[in-house]
Amino acid sequence: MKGIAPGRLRAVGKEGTRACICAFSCLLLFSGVGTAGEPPPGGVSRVVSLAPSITEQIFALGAEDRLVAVSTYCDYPPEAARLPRAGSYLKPSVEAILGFEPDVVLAVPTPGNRAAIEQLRRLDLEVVVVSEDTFEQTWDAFRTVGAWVGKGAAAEALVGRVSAELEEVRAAAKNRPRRRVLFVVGHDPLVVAGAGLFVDQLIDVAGGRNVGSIGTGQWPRLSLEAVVAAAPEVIIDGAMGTEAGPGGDAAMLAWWQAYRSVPAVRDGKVRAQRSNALLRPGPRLGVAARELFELVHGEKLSTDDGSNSGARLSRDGAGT
Amino acid sequence: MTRGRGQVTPQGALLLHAVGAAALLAAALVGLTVGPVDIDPIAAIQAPAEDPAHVILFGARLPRVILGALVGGALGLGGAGLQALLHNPLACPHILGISGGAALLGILAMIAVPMPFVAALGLTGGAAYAFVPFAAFVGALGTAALVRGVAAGSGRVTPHTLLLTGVVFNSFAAALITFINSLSDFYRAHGILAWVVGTLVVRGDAWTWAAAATLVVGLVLLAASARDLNALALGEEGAVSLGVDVGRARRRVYLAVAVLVAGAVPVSGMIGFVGLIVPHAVRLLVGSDQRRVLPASLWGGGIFLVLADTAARTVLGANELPVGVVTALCGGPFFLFLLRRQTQRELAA
Repeated sequence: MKGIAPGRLRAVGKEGTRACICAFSCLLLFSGVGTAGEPPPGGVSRVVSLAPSITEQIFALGAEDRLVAVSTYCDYPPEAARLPRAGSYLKPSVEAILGFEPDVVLAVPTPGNRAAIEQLRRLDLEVVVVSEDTFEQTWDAFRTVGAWVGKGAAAEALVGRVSAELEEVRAAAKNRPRRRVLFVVGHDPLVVAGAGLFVDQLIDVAGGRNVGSIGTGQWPRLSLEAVVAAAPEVIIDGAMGTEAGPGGDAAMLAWWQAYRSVPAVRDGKVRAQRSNALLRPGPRLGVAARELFELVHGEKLSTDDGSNSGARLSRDGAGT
Repeated sequence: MTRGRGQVTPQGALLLHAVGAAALLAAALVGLTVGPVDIDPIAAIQAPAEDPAHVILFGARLPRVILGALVGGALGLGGAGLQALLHNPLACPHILGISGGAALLGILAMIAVPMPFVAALGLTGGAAYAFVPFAAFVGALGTAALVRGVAAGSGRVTPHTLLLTGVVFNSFAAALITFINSLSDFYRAHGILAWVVGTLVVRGDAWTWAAAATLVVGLVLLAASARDLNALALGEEGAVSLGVDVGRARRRVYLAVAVLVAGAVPVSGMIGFVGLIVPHAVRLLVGSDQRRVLPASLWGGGIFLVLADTAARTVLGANELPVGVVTALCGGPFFLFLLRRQTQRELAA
């Protein structure tokens, strides 16, 4: 460590940029939300979901019979992949959506869907945009989605179940040392999970400290040297096996070897992650926390009951 | 602009390279010393290989500085060659769409490499690494031919139709890349977008060597064209009267630029404005003799991109800015200034 000055990360303009980015994203966010009407008692019967997480919620609530179309990224549970498509999560198709004659369109704010949402609203379609950046927002999303599909009680139960699953993992992680964790989603450039996002909260639940929070924004492009200085003990590399480029996982591991002062690299704790549960703020957050626990601590989370409770979507367990 | 200094003697050429190399070295020292994390470079050099400061210096900064020097040199050199060939101060690989064509085919190759059918072709290991620059080369050369062909469709190739065709092709390539991006998954999307803006990406030694090799080939090809380019400054008729084979000179310059861009694009995407700004700055310093402008643009491009990338790495703290944003912020206003000056000249003439 002798070459690193005590200040380590220069604070130049960091607070400023953070404030700017916050203000900007708030602006984006608030201009997208709102203007939604109230769901009728008992919900509506024709629903279009524009996000994989919302589709998972509707299935978990047992209301998939009301789902007339989903986004192209909706692939879980497998039945969801067989439903008609209404465009992608980033670029929904206004015409396709109109064709399904939905009573409500449920969406999350994405960089590409604002124009489509505004257009649908101008055409007097009910579009409900729910934010799912954090656990708390996700629970609210469960309730909103539940109200629109007539499963208010089930939604409340689902919030309880998933929160309990998270608490279970949190309790198990308490007795273990907290690890500095870096959650990588892209290599060129290095894009990681930052602060203020459910992934950040999941890392905390699983007994880690998110190194990515040194950056600004939810998915910061981190400078490599900042990562070396932050010395993560575990690197969860979601880009392994998916990134373009020859060599596959072996090449990725070799790439990390150049940074062998990083404890995760030195101790062989650069781990591939391929489950999409980790990126979806939905009913599988408990499953995601378990997966993260195993990736962070290198051991299975052993509990007597319910070790598989979240692995399959338990629709009856939601207590309709 | 012409500051004739007579013959370029071997000693003069050597001096120019020595000064250029010294200036690049100085820029590299800045790049190695400055970054978001405070390190003491001397202590970092002495520290053991497992020390974080040592890893930051040699693992994070040095590869970026080397890549910046290579890519910047290639773009500066390519820009100088195109500006001389086309008699157009606004020409550069980016504006002519050559970078866009290279990026488009390069990205398709990147996506194709992990696929089974490429492995079935026997493209593994080193051959797989060569595949992407080769595809970028085909894209660059194809675009150069296409843009020139379209611009020449109306008979005479005027500088404006060529630039306009290039700009249109660039938007077209960027749109196709964005389309590919919208089909790709979340993990890959960041990487593809980074290509459009331009980011220096340290992929590994093999890629850096490929960029270095193409830079040497491009330099040799352009150095061999320097006399022809000087003659072309008199106009095509003038060059022919001096015994220059204009068609051959043109093919050689386009080939050189395609080679240079093919080495740069796989490790940096579409970085704009380096090839535009650098030759201008260089001509102010060394005059307009291509035997001086070309080598000086090589060193100048490296210096500019190393410094721009140092800024991109540092200004946002732990976050990184794509270097293409920095070069565009410098280059956009500069382009407008050149355009205005050129228009005024044409009006005066």
